[in-house]
Amino acid sequence: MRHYKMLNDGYLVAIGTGAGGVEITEEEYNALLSEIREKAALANQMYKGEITIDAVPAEWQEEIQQRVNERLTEIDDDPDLTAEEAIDIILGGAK
Amino acid sequence: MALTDKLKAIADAVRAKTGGTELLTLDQMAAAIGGISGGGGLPSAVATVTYGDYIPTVDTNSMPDIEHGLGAVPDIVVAWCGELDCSGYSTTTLIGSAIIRGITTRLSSSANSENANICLIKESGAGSVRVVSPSSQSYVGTLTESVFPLQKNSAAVYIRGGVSYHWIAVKLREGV
Repeated sequence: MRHYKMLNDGYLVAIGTGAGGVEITEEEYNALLSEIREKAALANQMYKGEITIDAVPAEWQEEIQQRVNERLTEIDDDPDLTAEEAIDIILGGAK
Repeated sequence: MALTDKLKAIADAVRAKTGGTELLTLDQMAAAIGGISGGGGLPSAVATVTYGDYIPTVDTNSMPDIEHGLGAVPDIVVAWCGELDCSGYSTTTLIGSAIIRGITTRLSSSANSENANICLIKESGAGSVRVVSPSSQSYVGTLTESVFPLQKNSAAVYIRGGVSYHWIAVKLREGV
């Protein structure tokens, strides 16, 4: 199985298996997967108020805090509604 | 049973699996048997299938293109997330996505899609899981010989960091 990572401006944006990205070893993939999931779990716990920033390893605190802040500002409505889409909604069409 | 009858029976069994109708030499039988997938998989004479995982590092409402490696425009693409606890999200999360090529569908009063585009979402808050279509061309993305979009139905739908989005892409053979 082929493993890869995807970078954007030097930042890791995704990993995966299959085609695409920059091929990496299974060992590197597993290490990245472990870190990605650990950070996601910490962000989830902090967002839900189960832990505070003090429970996050010092070297990850800034990143995890930023993720939580971003989740707090996630949009919950479609801001890109076009006039055409609005008419569809008014007329009982798509959406 | 004579040897020729036994060979014919083997060739018939191979043809039944591959969907072929042509006469087979012994060498061709060996190659054909080697190409048959086990466990009920699709025989290569019917379709080419690729699959993989895509795991974003952080939450995002962008719509990533994923390379499928088929070398041809897929006829069917299905993506779905693996283990996921939505209780930590107050906004809408993409759970699955499917594209069936060649079924023209209406997205809005003036825009069609060349494909049937389907999204499975977990709505925000205590909202339900729903099957929806992209609300405009902006969210359909482009299905090409190299990539498929992890499509969604609006800007307010997020894919989640650390979640494995499994995918499978299928290119059917001509006439299937």
